[in-house]
Amino acid sequence: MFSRIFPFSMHIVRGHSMQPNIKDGDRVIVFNWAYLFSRPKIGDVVVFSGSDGKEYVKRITAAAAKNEFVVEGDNKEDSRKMPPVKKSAIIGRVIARY
Amino acid sequence: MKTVTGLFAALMRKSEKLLEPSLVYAHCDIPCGIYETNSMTTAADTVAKMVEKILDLKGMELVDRNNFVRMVHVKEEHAQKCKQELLILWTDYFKDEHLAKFPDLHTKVWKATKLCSQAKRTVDLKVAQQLKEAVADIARIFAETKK
Repeated sequence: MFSRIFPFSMHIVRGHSMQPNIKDGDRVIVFNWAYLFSRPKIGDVVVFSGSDGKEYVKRITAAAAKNEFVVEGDNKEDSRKMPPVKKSAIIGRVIARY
Repeated sequence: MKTVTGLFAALMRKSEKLLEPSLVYAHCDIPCGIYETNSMTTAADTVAKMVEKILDLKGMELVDRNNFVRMVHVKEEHAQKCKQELLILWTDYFKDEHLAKFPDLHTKVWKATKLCSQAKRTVDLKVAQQLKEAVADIARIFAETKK
């Protein structure tokens, strides 16, 4: 929750599941207030807290239930299945990479 | 999602010392069994092909120099990719039971990753061939573990 005090945050991406759009080592800028007053949309790339305490970057591909979303990597060869993510676990939307 | 390049990207990189960006993971560390050796094999083949092409370059025209730079860049990129793919197998896939069956696995992966670095530093067909063979050997071990 602390990160949401600030509207933007920067992160370094580790892993290959978002290739070719986000590569291992890329930096991303996240808008942490993106979903304060709106719902995440299919196609949004989001950073969220996983159940293991780590933070992940994935793309929303479907709505699983009310306020629960299916997330997947863009690289289907390296994208391992994750359980649906609750809106409350989503930290923000990736708005840029560099 | 926009891709930021140029001055703004450089400034953002500079600001990292101050802002300390945290890590986010583009994988989930759930052991799902999705591992493969095609990527590292293709990367090693690409390195060898680039070495061949670089050695075949003869002219010094602008277009030749442009091609030279592009080939070196591709060689560098794929040698790094090959190393990453090897390390993913090594750290995430291979288990104790595989080591028991292939006791020299650590040494083989270590030498293969060293060859990736050597392939970056050099333009040497022999090194490229050694890398292809080392990768093929680890791919063979990977296939054996799947039986």
